[in-house]
Amino acid sequence: MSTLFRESAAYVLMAGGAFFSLASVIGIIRFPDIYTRIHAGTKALTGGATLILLGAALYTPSWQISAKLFLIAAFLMATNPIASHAISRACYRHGMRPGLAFIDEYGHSGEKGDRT
Amino acid sequence: MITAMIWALMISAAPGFWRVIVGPTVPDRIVAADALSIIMTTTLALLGLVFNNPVFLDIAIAFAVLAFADVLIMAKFFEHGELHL
Repeated sequence: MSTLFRESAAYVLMAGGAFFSLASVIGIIRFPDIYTRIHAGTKALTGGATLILLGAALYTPSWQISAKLFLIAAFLMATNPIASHAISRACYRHGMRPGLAFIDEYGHSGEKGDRT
Repeated sequence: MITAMIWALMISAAPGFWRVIVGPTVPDRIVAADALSIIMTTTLALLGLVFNNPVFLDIAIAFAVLAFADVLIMAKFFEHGELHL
């Protein structure tokens, strides 16, 4: 009974993660701008991958594999926003302005020449 | 059942190759390839459950690290035109 409940919860988590991954890929294809595509590829995909890995950690009976899956999930949650931030900053400093934005708060700080 | 989940992930990741191929600018391709690499990492973790083999999880960890460094280096190269390390 406990095994049935655990595996059912794992399948629910994995189905949610697959749905968020599909939504992220559809957003990357359908959105009009590079910044909106970065937005679609960061948050939804991080959440989807974390849900799938948590479901897998709940599915497996051994705790060593669960620890490794938690490690992968923590690493993805730590590194995917950093990579997306690096891409968007490179886009802005390369000269691609967000055409759909009303307020551009990075414009004042980006033109002072603080190139790190 | 896990096999069906892997099929769902791969079918949902397949349209992303369209953005990699026909993306108008370079960062579009970088973002789409990053998303596909993350889906590939989760698929590797699920493959480790299917074959009951922990080696797939080690490969998934190494793949995540390499994809992160890859995206950072490509963003740096796209920003400056050359690598200022």
